[in-house]
Amino acid sequence: MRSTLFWLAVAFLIGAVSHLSYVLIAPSFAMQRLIGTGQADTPVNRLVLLDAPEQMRLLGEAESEAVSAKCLFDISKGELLVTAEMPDTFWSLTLYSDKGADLYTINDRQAGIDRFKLTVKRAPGIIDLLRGDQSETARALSDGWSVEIAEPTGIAVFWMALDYPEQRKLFTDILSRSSCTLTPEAS
Amino acid sequence: MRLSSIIKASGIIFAGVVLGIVTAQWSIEKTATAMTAGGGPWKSWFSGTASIRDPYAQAHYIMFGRLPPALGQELLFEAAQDDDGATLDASCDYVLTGPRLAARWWQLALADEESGTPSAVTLSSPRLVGEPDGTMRIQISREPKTGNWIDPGNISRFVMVLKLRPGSGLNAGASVVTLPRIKRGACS
Repeated sequence: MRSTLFWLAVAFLIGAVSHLSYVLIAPSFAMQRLIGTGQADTPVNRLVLLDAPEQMRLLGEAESEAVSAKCLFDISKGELLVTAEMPDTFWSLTLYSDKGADLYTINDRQAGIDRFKLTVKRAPGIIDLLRGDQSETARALSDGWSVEIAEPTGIAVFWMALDYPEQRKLFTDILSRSSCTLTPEAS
Repeated sequence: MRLSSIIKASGIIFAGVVLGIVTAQWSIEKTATAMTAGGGPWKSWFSGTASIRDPYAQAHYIMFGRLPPALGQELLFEAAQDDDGATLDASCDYVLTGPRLAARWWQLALADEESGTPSAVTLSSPRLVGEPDGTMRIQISREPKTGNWIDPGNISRFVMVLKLRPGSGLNAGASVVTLPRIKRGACS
């Protein structure tokens, strides 16, 4: 009887661990596979226009429906400067963490303009907050927009709608003038 | 250690792992909310009024190979059944009817239920031909149809994925969106 209870408890414990692993850990690996982190040929902190198969895989949208680009970012050693140049259409820019959480998002109506700078930096930790040095935030706010995020790695997704497929080349040309670069921290 | 003990321990571990994964998948499916504003079988894992913080809802999107909808930018609805509760089958014709969707851009896609992967079979709002009375009507069939027509192609059972981009940036609630009805027609 005692042996049966013991094995039932073991099965329950293993079940709980695999349940939590499936819900909490597996999506992180799936997200990393989805966005392409960890692959040797995937550039980091650089804007990459998505071709048709990649756009379908990542966004589920055909090349006749939208134009998109991605920028895998890693701001553990600096700030990310996104210089966005978007066409006059319905567009959005969304930052996701590498665990799939949406960190920041903006569209054409919220932005009001189709050309802007966005500085992405790590949110200050408790020690930084206690030190109370906010001068960096003020500088960034006076130079475009600034967003502070808690996760150091993730993906920025640029998306724009096509009213008709022939717009693709024009919108791709405009979007390719956008950039996504890391500004190293001053030592 | 005796062989019987090893077999017993392996069986317990296997049963525990299976139990954990089955309950996890069940919990992920249970986090969906039935959408009732327009009736019908549409479900959503995303309320639209707050970022997804529920790990079960998050897992639903990512494990299915999709980026989760971003707050204020996107609403995602899924239907695996028609209005009468029957599973969507590509050998049958379906008609979606309802008021035009209140979004700047939307896309209706058919995803293969077996492989769980998004399909390239889509219809998006710029290509929609509206009805004279201002409503919309979309037909899904392997046979060519006039008007808005989606060919499911080689997939057998499918899920409809309706992506809405409201475009306002406001946090639109998924529960107040009126979604099209799904009526099954003839089956081959």
